[in-house]
Amino acid sequence: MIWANLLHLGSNMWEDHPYITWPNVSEGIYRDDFNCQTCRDAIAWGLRAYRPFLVFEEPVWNTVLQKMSDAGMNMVIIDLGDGVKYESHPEIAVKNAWSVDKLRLELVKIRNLGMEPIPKLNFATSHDAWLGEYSKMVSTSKYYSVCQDLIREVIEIFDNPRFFHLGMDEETAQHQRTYNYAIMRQNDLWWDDLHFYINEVEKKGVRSWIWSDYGWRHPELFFKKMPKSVLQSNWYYGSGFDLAQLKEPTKNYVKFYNDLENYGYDQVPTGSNWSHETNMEDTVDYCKKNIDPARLLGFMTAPWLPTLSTCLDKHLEAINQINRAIKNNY
Amino acid sequence: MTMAGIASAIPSLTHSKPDFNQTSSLKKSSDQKLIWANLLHLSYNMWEDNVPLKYRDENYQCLTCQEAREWAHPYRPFLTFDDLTWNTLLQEMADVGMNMVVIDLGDAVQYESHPEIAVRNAWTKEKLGSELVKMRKLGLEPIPKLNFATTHDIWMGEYSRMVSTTKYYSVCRDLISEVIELFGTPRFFHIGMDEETAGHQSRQDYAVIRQNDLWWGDLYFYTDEIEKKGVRAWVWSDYAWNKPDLFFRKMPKSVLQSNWYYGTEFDLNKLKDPAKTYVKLYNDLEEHGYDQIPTGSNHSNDINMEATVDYGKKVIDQSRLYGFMTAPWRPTLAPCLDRHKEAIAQMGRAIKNY
Repeated sequence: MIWANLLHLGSNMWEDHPYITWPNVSEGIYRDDFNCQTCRDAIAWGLRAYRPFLVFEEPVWNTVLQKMSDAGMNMVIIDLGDGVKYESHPEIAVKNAWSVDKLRLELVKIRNLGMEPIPKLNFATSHDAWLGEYSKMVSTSKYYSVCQDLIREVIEIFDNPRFFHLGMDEETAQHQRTYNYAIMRQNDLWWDDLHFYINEVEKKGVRSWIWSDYGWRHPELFFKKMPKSVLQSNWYYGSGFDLAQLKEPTKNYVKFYNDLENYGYDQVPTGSNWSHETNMEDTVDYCKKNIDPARLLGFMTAPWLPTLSTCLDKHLEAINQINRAIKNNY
Repeated sequence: MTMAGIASAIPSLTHSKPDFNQTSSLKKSSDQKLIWANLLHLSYNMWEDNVPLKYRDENYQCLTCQEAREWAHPYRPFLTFDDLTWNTLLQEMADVGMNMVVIDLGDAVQYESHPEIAVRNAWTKEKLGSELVKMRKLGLEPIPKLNFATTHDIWMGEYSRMVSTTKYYSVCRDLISEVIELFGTPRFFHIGMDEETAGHQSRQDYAVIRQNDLWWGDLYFYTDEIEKKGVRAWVWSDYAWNKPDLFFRKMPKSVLQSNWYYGTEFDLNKLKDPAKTYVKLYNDLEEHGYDQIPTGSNHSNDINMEATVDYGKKVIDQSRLYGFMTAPWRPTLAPCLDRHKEAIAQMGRAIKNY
């Protein structure tokens, strides 16, 4: 059973600028040299806003990996983004990005801790600021060539991992309303591009993995066109799981676990401590009841935190929640 | 990425707001003739980037103007244009006293700088040159239009999928420069810039929206490229409907404004939003001192154009009212000839009654 944690090496997967207008964040958060005192500030500054340098503290990373291993977790999904100096496209890397050699060493460390490292490159236009200027050339010949190079190189660096997470979530105008540059692939184009990424991944013998929320908005299309070979991570971070009590759109998010099961897709349901402390364990309870063990490959927590010391406690909480879920259910 | 690449990827830094709120050199002289313009399409690839099933037959026989519009509206890899219709329209425009043709060029010209943009049967620069001579002989001033709004830039081909990149800026610069040369340095250059919203691109395969300062940075880039050649930039004004404060703070006075409204009611006391906002923008632009060419149309009804002229004449000072434009939004195809003629006849009546 997979017990995975989504961690961020690259952080440029949201805004394409540093001006975050969230309530309750400190003034001056737009500055590159801002000193975050709280985890909320660190999320706004280090994860949500664009930064031209690596937002990452190695001691935090090491602590989180060790705690995951101690808790019985067995998979690290690493959101790489522009946190690696890819040999095929070094121009993508931010300042202080990891060299390929450094990444390889870290992968060895992860494996030695009994965990499986899985790469994630989010190709959704709502989360591809890490692609730099290529994020403004989506669906062009140059773009396809760059994606092909990156997928091939990452698979090689990870020594043909079991899975490759492609993201592909939240590609809507609403999700990009605060960005400088918003792109939405619509109609068949979203599908054509998805099939392009999948093909690049699968031709190397690796299984594609995506977020499933496209299915919330276009269920009929989703179930007609989504290949069963693609591993699904539906996600829901709320506190209620009783379909009889839930209202739309939340009900739709939870029910999608059931819909994916009814259509026979393999799943790794994803919870989080983003909004509630109870969600992760409830996610495990709900999905254990509603998904056939043959198709339930495991669970993932996605704390959506920068790998920074101001957020270490919150990272540890997420790991503890998974630890309790493992103990109580398996 | 090079420093130049980085800089050009941040247009708000490279293309800052020009200091041309002084319009003294652009002031309309008292003897300058009022503009009576018609927006005609050489290219019609300014909307959907995909073709509905019904119209996938390239040889579809359009029986009505509505059908011709629906057929030509989605992307076509060839010219959707009829010479005979074009010639008839130019002559009719001259006959009723119109004096300007705004030509939506798009991908209908074999640009020397970027021949890859041209559709099949696109005009050569020699053909365009001879047509410009013809228009001038008819007393019509030809004005180029290249719509750079992402909603209307399908004509740019693959470049429409790399907006705000180094390559994109380079292509736009080349096109603007070449078109200005082809038109013998025209008085104006219409750059569109309308309707860049998600709602307006809901049917497109590929939707792009420039937001925050990026839209403005790119606008300043286009206007700078035009103005450095001594030509005046001209835009649709509808950005102001949704963001009036930003618009009036950031839009240079040097940019000629075409607000547009195609409804039948012009009484602000009777109108409700959003239509009221559309009409009131004529007043707002005047209050803020912008030069205008109000634009009406027979797109929705037959009374709008003349009513637009009446309204514009009442609420805009003569010194800032450069003239009027009709925008029939129909392809230059035979099934739409009558509709085009109606638009011209409406302008003819407005000219007589002015």
